[in-house]
Amino acid sequence: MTDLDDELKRRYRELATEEPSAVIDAAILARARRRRPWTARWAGPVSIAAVLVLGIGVSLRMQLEQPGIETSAPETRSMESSSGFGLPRTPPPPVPATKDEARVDAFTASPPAANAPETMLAQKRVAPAPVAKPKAAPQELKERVAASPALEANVAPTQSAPQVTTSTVATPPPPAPAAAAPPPAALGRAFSDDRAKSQSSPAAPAAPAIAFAPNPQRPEPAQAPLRAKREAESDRAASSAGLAADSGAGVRALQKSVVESDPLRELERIAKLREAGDNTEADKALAEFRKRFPDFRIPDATWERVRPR
Amino acid sequence: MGGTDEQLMLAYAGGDAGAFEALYSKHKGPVFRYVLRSVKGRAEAEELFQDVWMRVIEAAARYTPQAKFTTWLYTIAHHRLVDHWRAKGLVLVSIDEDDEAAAPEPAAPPSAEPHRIVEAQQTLDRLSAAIAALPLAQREAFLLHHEGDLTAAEIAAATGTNEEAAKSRLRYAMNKLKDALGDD
Repeated sequence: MTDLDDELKRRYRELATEEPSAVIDAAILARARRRRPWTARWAGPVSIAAVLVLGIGVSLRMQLEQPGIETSAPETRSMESSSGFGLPRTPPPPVPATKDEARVDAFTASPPAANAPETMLAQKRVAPAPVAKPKAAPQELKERVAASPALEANVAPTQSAPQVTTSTVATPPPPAPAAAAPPPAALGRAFSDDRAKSQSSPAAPAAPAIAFAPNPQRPEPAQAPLRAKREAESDRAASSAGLAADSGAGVRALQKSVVESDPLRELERIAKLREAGDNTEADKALAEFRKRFPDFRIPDATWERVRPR
Repeated sequence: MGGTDEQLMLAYAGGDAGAFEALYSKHKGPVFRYVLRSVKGRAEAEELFQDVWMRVIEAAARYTPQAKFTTWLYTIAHHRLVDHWRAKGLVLVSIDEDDEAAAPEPAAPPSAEPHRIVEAQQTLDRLSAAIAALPLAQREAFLLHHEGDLTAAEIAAATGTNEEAAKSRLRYAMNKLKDALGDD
């Protein structure tokens, strides 16, 4: 049996000598060489698709992060009212200088940590403030600020649309640490940019420093949910910072630091003293104000309220 | 070009044309004879043979070495032949094929005696005729075993049948061919 198998195999080997023709060989090998690996075949389309996807993605992200660039002023305002800060996220485009702007420029020399929305946003993004805002502070500040609704009209007579609500007070950064705080010049520049924008466009938002009073033209019920939301956000921010500063001393210190760092609030306090007839205290406060903010130019309307009697 | 057939195929899938040339030069003869003895003429066989290798080239990107390369290669060849038989309306059992035209003249050694040459040629002719006379399934099993060096299990995998059937077909084919040789 094995012999027969071997014989069959040997005979078959003798028989099986056919080969394909050279023409077929050449055709097949040429076709094999023309074939490109799938990576080479798909490299072009895949790279084009990747570029398109990245481009679209970056564009969408830029639009989402900077909605003020391509939207009109009313839309920006509505977006701001729905945001946590009620502030423009991007610096406004440069506008011609006005008389009021020159007045605001004087403010750039002082470090208004609580007045620069850009700074607030930047601090919130880059480095969380190590000192948490106490929970009680927003309520007290709101009550205090709500008691002075005329501030807006006195300080910003140019109808700069100050729609920032009292919740803005609830979210000032605490006294900024040196590492996270930008230079005063940057803070002032941000503030002046916002002012310039607000004055060039009546519908544009104003900086929070000049609008701590609730806007009487805006319906309260519409603001109530938004305010509650903002308060909840600020509460979350405070709790996430991990520092509970619920003591009354801490609240008062924070209040004081916030008020003292804001010349407009200080002026408002002096105006209240004048209204209350406490001219001696008002004169002292005004003198102190002059020391602390020597370059600050007091608006005319405010000056009428705080000037020595 | 070294490496196993599977490595060569993977190299070709990665763009190495030289790997394909090595594979082709190694397997072109057995595949061609497998196809040649499964159809009627050489021209038809060359066309089918070219189609088989084109399919190999096209399938290279999807190739994964799950089995022997030869099993994968002869599976492609088998499928191409089945397509051919179906297109021709042929049944699997065919005993009327005559491959005499396709059988080349074996080269005789110069010192061989004339009657020996004639006798050897006659033996080869009988074997060729016996192979052609085999039923298609048995002939395919025999060719896959002797040309592709496939085992019964690999034959079963390449032809889509079970191992026992492949063994049976191979055994029947061998017996018939031995009978043909034994008639000497």
